[in-house]
Amino acid sequence: MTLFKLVKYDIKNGVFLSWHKLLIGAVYAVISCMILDRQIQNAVEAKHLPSMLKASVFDYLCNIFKGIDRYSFTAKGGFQIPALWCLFFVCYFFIIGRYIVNDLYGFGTHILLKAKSRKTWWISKCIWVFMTALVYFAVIVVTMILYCAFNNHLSFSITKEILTFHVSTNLWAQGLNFGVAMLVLPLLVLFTMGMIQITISLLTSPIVGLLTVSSFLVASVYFYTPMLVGNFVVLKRSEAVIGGFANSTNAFIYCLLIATIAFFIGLVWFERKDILKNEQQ
Amino acid sequence: MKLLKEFLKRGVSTAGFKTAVMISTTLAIAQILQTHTKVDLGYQYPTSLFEIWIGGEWASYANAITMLVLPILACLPFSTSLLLDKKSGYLAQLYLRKPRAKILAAYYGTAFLTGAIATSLPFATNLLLNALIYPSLLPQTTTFTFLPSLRGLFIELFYTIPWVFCLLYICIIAIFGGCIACVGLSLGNFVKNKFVLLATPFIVYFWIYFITMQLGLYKLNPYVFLNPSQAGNAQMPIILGYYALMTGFSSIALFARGLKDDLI
Repeated sequence: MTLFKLVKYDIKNGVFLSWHKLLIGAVYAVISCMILDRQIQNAVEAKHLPSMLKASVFDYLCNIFKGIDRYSFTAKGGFQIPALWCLFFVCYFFIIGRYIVNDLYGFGTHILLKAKSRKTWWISKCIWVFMTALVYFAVIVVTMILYCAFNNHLSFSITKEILTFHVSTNLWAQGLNFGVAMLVLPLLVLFTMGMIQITISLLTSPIVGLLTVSSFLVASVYFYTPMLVGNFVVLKRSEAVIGGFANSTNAFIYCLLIATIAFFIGLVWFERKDILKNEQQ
Repeated sequence: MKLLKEFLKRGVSTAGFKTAVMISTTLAIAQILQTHTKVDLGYQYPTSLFEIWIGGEWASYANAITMLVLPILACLPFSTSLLLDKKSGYLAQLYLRKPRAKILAAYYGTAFLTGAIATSLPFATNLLLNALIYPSLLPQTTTFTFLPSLRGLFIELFYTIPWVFCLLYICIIAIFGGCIACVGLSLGNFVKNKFVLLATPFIVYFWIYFITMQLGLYKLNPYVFLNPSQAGNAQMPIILGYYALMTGFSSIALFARGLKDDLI
């Protein structure tokens, strides 16, 4: 069985036949759009915004990825984790959580025998993680487009007033590449976190994988370091706003580095794993 | 009672319980490492145990993770048992020997107790470990360093007998954890996968967090009201409402379905 056929099998079973799981992304997108509309309305009433503005698709995406300011810890202070931003990732972790281990101890054993190579099987799963991230993100973006279309304000241009009000004027002034920041980097970070999750799921169990990546995600909110890749998709912490390391070049370097490490750890582990010792999933 | 005893023995020896204890201890120690400050002996009121323990602040990473993964901690020890016993055929064997209601009640009781222990562990461990470092000075309103506001829950106890306040609040968290564990257990009648069973309470909890935060309904957010520092003033009717909702759902889902379930 070639890699191409394996990938086809994974995409069919892990993405398209599990389409109902992706609905969670659509629900998330609709709720996040409604929240921004409500916030704009409140801002107009409080006279923070001059007039009622209609948000575009990119405004909704900016609202998700605006995140939270850099955090400096004081034991006697307080801190809230950004719910909207976190949920974007947590839903994805939930979607990819069980497929690999289920497949391995289910019908996947036959596929693995046909594939004749554990390496090919593992590569196929890594490609599946990327494809799931792509489809999940596409579902969110498409839902946002439909939401805008139904409300008669379909637009892709960024509204300067909304962006300034929500994030920072610097983003506009520094000429941030919104296409990369809003569409490419989230996908890259989703993929990297997905790689960490499936590797840990394979090493231990899917629930430990979920716990680990969720902790990793929340750590990104608390600690400003490039190894915690969540920092790369927080607009308020991007190089254009506060300086620092969070630019697209570093994002590519660190994400690919972490994903590669996860890939090799998973590969080495999986080559030696006793897959006949079935675990009750 | 004998069955409950047997189940409890089994509940505290599962890999899930051991994992929960390990996570709890790690979080308790991580919180101390992040918040460690020298006890001020100058002109300021010295740092008190009741402002620095994991339930006295809401600034540390360990605090956020503990509050966030509470449902997973609760469900890890015993919530998957019903599902796994169904799959292995052990439940059918039990049904042959004892009345179903008794067996399901034993499952329910064990899930509640193990869930309660697992969720209270990080708080209890952290409080005791911090007590080894910081003096348990009586909280003072005038220092403005103690987080619970004067309109908070059990606030009189906090400023008079803080140990009792901490104990009471840990009990509130434990009961909440026990209820979540029961919800997880009852999901065993509906889902077929261990991961889905363990992750569903966590995802629902996160969605509640998300929606209540966006709508500004902090008082309805378990992440906020379960934290003893009470960033939003906790209210007893809301806490009791959550208890009733979770107990009601889990009892109906477990008993109504479990008593009629055809295992063959």
